[in-house]
Amino acid sequence: MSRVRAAVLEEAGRRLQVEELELEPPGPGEVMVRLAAAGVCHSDLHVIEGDLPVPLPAVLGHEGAGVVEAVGEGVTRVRPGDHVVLSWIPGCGRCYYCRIGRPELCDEAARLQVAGTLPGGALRLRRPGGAPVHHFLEVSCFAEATVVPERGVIPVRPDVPLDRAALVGCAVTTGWGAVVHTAGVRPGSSVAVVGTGGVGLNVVQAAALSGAWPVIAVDRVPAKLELARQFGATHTVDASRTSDVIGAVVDLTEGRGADYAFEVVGRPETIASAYGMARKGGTVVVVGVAAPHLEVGINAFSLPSQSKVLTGSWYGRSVPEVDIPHILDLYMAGRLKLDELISRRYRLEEANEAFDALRAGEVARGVLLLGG
Amino acid sequence: MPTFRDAEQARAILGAVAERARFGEAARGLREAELVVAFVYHDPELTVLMDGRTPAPDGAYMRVAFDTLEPAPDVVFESSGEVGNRFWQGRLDVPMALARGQVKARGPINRALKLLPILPGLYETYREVVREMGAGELLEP
Ligand SMILES: [Zn+2]
Ligand SMILES: [Zn+2]
Repeated sequence: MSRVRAAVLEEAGRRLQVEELELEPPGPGEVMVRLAAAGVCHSDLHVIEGDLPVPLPAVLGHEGAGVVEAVGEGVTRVRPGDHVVLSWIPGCGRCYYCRIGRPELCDEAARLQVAGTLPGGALRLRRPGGAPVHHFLEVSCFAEATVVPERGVIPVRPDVPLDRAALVGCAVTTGWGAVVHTAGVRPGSSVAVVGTGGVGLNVVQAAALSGAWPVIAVDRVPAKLELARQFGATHTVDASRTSDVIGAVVDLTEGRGADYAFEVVGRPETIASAYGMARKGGTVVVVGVAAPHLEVGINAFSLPSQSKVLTGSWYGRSVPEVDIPHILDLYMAGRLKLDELISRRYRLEEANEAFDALRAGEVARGVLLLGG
Repeated sequence: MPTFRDAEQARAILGAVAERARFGEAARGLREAELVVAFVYHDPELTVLMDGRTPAPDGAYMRVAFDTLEPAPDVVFESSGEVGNRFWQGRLDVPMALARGQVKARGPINRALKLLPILPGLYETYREVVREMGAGELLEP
């Protein structure tokens, strides 16, 4: 049994509280990871604000990286000392979706998201001598250390700084995969990206890397649009200065609309906008995660008459074991930016400030440094 | 794209257009269809109600009122002011704007869309009024 400091959410609507928890050693098929860094993501914020119901109290955080400290019985993927990025969809490998090569849709992982446990119902975190604390997305990386399933650890090269590597656990892979896997953006095609936060910037850079032109970034925060240009946006639309972002994108694409439109905000209005700004026969990819009770209105006649492909992208439709090391190779080769994604670094005790900044829309990505 | 400075400006321009158009062909179309059409704009907030159903005392084909939905409109077109400005210049592909969601419509819009072919006169009047009011920056080349 070890003691770790962790940021616990007691109930929705509250602030996170940093407390000392007991962490049980890893059981069979589990891995204990000493965490170095964790990104602060909108999905955590959804839980804090009560928009995404998961069992509480829980240790949040699902975008993390660290070093393996111990492995449970039967674990072969990693050894103590290995650097790892955590995957928040550890595909079970057995369900229908895992078997057809869509591990991001894993039934078992989806079930465990709602259950707030590790596989088999295991709970490895508890208050000293007291009640267990739930896991979040089988990751719970707002802590000095965590226990995760073997399939949730992705071994990575040790020369990548772990604060950068952490971002590849969610934001980078989600944005990259939406472009490369879900949309399959082709060179020379036009791309519009609504929302240029941590994930949106990665949609922008993957689109640019795929040879798209123009790459149109849409956001309400001029500083984020400036950043989007650094990540490869060729045009920007400041949504705080126009109420017709659809018209603006149509004007920038010879009156047609974009070949691919990505929504990376997670709001009904912006989803409808992204749909509207795709050309006839174009592809609309919803990446942003909206609260589960919301609905989107789109024109019914346009569904057949404009024949757009409207789809979503969950975790970038990625295979984390393949995509995460690949993305890190691209970073080390200087082809993909990670450094510029980190707007601010925080200590674990400053987790609430990191969420305040995310709420205010000030940052691309805030990262908690966990000292591991 | 250019848009109205504020609701005042939008109301002044559309009020003047309506005043000139009340006896025109588009208004007659509205009267013959006995339609009440509302344009609900956001940013700036303004509602324009064109009533071709209630007879006007001076024999005009329509009555125009702002910021009311009385009498209840048959058809409502809702959009941003920016898209509205584009529409009144005749620069908006209306079926396309509906498909894209730039304009949201409620009611039997086919009856209103039937009027589209007789609107060009109105677009001309709009551009005239905008120029006379020194608001040329609203017009697209
Ligand atoms: Zn995330
Ligand atoms: Zn599975």
